[in-house]
Amino acid sequence: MTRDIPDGYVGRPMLRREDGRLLQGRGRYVDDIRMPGVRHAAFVRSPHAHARIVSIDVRAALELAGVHAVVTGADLVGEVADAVVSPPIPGLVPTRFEVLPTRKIRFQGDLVACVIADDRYLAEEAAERVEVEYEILPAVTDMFVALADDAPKVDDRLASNRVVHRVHTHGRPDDQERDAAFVVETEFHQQRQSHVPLETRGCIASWDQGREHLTLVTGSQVPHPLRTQLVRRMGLRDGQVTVESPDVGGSFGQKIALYREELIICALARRLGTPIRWNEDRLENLQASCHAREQWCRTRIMADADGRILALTLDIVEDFGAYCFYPANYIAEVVGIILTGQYRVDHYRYDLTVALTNKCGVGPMRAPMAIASWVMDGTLDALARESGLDPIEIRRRNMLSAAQLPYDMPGGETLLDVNIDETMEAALEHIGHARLRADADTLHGCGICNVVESTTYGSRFYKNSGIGGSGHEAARIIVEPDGTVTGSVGLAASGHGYETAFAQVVGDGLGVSPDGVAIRLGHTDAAPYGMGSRGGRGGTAGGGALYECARMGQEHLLHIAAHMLGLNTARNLRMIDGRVEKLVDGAWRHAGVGIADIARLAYFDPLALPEGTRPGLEFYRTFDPPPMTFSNSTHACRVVIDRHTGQLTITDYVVVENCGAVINPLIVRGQQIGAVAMGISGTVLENMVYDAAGQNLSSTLGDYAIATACDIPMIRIHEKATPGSRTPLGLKGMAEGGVMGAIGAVANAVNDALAPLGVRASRLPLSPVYLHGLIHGHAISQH
Amino acid sequence: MKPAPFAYHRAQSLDHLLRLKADLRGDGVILAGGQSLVPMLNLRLSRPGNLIDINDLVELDHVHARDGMLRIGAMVRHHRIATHPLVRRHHPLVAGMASMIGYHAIRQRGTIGGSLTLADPSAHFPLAAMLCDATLVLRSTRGERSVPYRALYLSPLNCALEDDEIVRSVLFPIPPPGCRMEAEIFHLNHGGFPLAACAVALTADARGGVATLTLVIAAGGLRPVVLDRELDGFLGAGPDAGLPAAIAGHVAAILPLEDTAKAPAAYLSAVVRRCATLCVTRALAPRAGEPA
Repeated sequence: MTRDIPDGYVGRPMLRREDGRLLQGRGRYVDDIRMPGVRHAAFVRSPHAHARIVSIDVRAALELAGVHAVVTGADLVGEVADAVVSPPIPGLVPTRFEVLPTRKIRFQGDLVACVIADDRYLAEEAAERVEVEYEILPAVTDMFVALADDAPKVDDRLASNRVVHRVHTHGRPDDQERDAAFVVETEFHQQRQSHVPLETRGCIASWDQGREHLTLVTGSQVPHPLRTQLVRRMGLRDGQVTVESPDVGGSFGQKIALYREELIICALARRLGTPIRWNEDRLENLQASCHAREQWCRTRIMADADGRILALTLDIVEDFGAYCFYPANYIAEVVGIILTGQYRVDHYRYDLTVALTNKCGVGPMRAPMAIASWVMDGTLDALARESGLDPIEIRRRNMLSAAQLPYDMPGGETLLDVNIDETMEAALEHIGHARLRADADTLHGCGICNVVESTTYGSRFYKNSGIGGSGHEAARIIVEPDGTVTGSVGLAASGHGYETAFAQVVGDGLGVSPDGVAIRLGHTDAAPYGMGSRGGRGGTAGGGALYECARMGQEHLLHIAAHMLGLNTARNLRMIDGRVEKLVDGAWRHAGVGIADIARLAYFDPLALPEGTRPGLEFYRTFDPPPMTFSNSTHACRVVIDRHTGQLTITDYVVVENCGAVINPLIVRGQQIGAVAMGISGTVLENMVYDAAGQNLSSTLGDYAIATACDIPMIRIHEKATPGSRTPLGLKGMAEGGVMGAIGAVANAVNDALAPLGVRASRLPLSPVYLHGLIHGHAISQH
Repeated sequence: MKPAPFAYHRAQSLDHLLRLKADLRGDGVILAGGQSLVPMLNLRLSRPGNLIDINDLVELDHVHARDGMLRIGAMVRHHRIATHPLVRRHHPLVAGMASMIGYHAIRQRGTIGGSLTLADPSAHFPLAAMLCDATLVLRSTRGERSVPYRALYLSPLNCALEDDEIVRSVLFPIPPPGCRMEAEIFHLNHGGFPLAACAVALTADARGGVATLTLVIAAGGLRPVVLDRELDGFLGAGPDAGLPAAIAGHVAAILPLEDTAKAPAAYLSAVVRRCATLCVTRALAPRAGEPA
């Protein structure tokens, strides 16, 4: 499915139209939206990691003038349904929890009560006056301890803290060991992190008693699925709820689930009959919003004397925190599915275990499968060190060639449209072959990481994996009576540049200039029901749906145009920049009719339309992407480690990327750089630390370090793109692979640098303290 | 993250400020740049009854150089110190330290008086003031006194100001010709709190060896340590290649470092050694345009 319009708008580096308003402070984030009569909420949160609630005394809080309500879990029983996560997935333990705990809190920052007052200052003052008596219970903060038989139970309803144990086997991995020349086990430990969007969570809920209608303004990635969750929990009908997300100040996966705070605010807005707002502060965001990434992996690779993989097994243990806002297998499962990438692996097994602990609940974070590329290529590097073979040669020998695609991956998906064999060779050329030697002050390393990025998940994937939901997306295009165009799709933009990119797509699909195309997003009434922004699906699923819808629209417009021009077929007509053109003697000529003429007819002179054509120009089209689309890339970097301090400097960073056809190269470049920066930040700095008692030690930005632009090297990006074969325009999607590649490239480079010392870094972050300990042979506990 | 209730006062003049401080005794906290105080208020770690905003006080906003002293008003912002021609000419170390504090936005608001009186053990200005033996000019309704910062700094987050006193100015002695000052700050990330820092003042003798040497170390939450007489053993030492490492090794060995939440003592010691080595190396290096 390729574009047949020369010089289209898709592919042009158009400046982002949303940036003017976002950069000049004219965005509409939750905190920018004023609402008369709004009241403010603050939450009473547990100072303990695990405790029974003995009693709650709210009298002193209610005595403050301007405090309107103090609500505890008991007050909401029966008003709001429990969160239930129980998809029919073998090995997944169903879980449920209350909107506001009535008996027990499970982590530091867990909810105990909600105060509604005239302003946030008062609300916090009142929250401090709520007296809670706790019976402190032993906390479990380490996932391996949590899995022990005698561990304290995080969820009293469950038999144990093990909420997932699943095994997927392809072939007979264990039988290969007797033929293996090398068997290498390698460990990888990724630390807990959090998304830290610039705009924390927040919402304004208002209940219109006359219409019995709830409006929730909140920065959500997924307005429609959020509405679905909301109506189910509150016992409302879909048509009774509007979710609006005008601008979203960053999300990274943190703004998908319906969390308890927003739901409580909605319930109290309905109960009290006044609009209520809650703005999460940074302390709450870091302590109690959503964490991610805490995973331990162990691979066992069996290879022949030439380094060819005979079999691979993966054990993953993931810490899911105190509550399951998602099916607890989902994140680790994607790692297992995608792990083998573009390598041929005939015998494979992955074994997932997920544990509850007394820490903040976790969810997906830009590249939920982030660890996968490091684990795979790090395993090959470990095999190279063990066997003495060249690590690049090992990659080449196990690489699937173009002729071997599509390939049924041992994880169950079908790999196609990837070319790591090409991106790797190009990356090696760009990073250069120089080998720098260690000296008295420094260690030098070079790392390579090949990335297969699962970008867009179609409905077939969800069905196959047993995860509820759909992967389709929906678009609506209206050609307005004046001939301008409004497109909408069920995504919400958090700085993605969708308004620009989608106007380009609609421009090409419909045959109009993007300047005349308005894109409306993030509103359940304005956009058709869609699955929202997650993964790398925006361009492919959202752009694809809009493109298909626009093509349908153009066909309809040309059908009318043919009638207007007295032609009996539209076959030799096309629309460019809103002009109808006609093919005459092999050349396209303006036919004298434009989109505004057609629109006038369709809306104001319907009797002039062709026989059987209905008035109006609205188009609706859904698009279900293939089960999974893949982008790929190779990341290569060079690092220098200061032996004296363990400080790591990335001296060069190269990406060779294949993310298919590109709608807007400027936006794609920004996403790629942003993803690499986020990956580097997580690899070297970010660390959500809990002490043994379950106290969060990283709950301010002074303690939770994030890389700034000054910590990120120049990132050189090159393209080796091939179009997707099964998507509109050849789109594939991107924006997460950079995270995956950065982790692997930097960690592999560090281990290359450490190799002469005979030590290997297996834990992230690669902090100077940790690296210094490895270099000097004294294991320092990870901070 | 909203502060507990407090009364807000906006000082209209230095006299007004001094009267407020005298009247409120210990319960009037000064709001200058607010870069440390406001987060502390919002985290409710600090709960003063009264906040005195001094941002209107031009009397505290001055930079002069005379009589061998660089005088900087308490309300002078970090960015201004970093870029002020007088500071850059007479005391490049102070200007350089100011330029490295936090981020651009922090440097637009933060003040030297606030930083010195907060006495954060990892902050830049306390290190510079300790190294230079700076003096603080303190005022109250009772009068004015000048106290060496080294004496005023009792322990981290604890300066020996009287309840009714405010800082008017900081006096940095302008270093004599030939005195080299260098600093090395070790961060885990750009703009974050320093993990360890070292600053050195060194005068070379005619041979390029060490004539005078003072070193200040901040690490591990300790009160910054001024090493002066402790380094007398190195005076007269020639400019040999092993000297910086020898001094650094001695410094690291005598520091009473302990494990912190961010790093174990052994690591802090390694970083101090590295910072000190780099500082001393730079201080000893021949510089273009200076007599050898």
